[in-house]
Amino acid sequence: MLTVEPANTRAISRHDRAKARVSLAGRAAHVYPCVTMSTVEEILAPAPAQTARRGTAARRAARILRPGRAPAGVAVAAVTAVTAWWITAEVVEAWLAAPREWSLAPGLLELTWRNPAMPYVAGAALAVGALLVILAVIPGRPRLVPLETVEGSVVIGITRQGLRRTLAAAALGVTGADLAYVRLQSGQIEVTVVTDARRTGDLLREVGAAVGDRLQTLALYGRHEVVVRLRRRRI
Amino acid sequence: MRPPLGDRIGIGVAGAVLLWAGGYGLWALQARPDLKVFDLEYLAGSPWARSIGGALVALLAMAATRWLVLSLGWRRYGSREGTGTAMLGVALQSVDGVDRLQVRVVGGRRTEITVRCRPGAPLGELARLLDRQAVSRVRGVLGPYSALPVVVRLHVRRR
Repeated sequence: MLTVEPANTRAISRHDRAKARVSLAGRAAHVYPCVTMSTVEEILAPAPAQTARRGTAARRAARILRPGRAPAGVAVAAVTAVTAWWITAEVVEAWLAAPREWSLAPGLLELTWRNPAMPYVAGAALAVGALLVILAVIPGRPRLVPLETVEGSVVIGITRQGLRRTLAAAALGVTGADLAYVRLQSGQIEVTVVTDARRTGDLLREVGAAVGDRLQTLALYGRHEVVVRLRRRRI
Repeated sequence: MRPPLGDRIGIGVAGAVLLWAGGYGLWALQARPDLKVFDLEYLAGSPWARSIGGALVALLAMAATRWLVLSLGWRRYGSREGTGTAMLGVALQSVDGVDRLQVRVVGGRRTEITVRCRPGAPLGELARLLDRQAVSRVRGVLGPYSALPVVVRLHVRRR
């Protein structure tokens, strides 16, 4: 198993700049060694303002792409509407003193809590109520995986299936990879490559690099560790 | 840009009512088993209470119907903007592998752009182009909706 992290252009350039500063400072290290070290640490540390801005943008994008609970909303709205219209019809019927044959009111109005079905009804109401409150409160997994944007009023997201497919296509672009499966987990992207090739080490590195490059060009928010697994095709 | 909260608020209120009703039912099973589940004697004895109760139920029915219609229809899917889609096609013509484009204005609250691509399409380049040029060009032809926030949905088809 090879673990490859997607390359970050800014991080690399910062690192390169830091190395350059170290090599330059090395010549004068005998004069101000402590100053040199603190400069390197400052360069290697992420810029606080930039990190905070990126974090804010990522949270904002995730909040916008959060699921709105539309299917559950449609179901609750439909049940509520049907029940409320039925009660309204019963009230109008009572006002007009014109009882209908399909009215359920007489049976329900005689119902007491001693009825053997009542414990189950109360338990079901508790369970459904708890489920609905949980659905309303829990943020839920975003519908799309957010990508970095420059403009604040634009949110770009890629579907999870689309991300899996484009990463699988990147992995299949490597010579020797016959099949590729991608699994998206929280903070981790697992790429399984099926191959007949004997050169496993090179293939692992090449697949990791291809997937990392694709992730870098996509510029997803957050850190995503890429795990590449190699599997030999069954004969 | 504010995420849609209407469904969550409605679901939360309905869940809280069901939780209260279930808890009350479990209490009444033990404490007052002979009590009627739907005791409407007070409403039957007072014409004013009956009228107000009927009006409240009718209001609830209309509100729930409006919620249902909005959830199923216009608020969710919005209306297509042909001019915006055409402009998006012009803006993305330099990118290979774009399969399908759509621009919709959803509920006068936001613009949704859907882009479907083939697996080999350069998605990174496409996202940068959308972010830096294409979205602003689409906004330019949307008229009164040009100031709305934009959500872009990228998808990759199977083959």
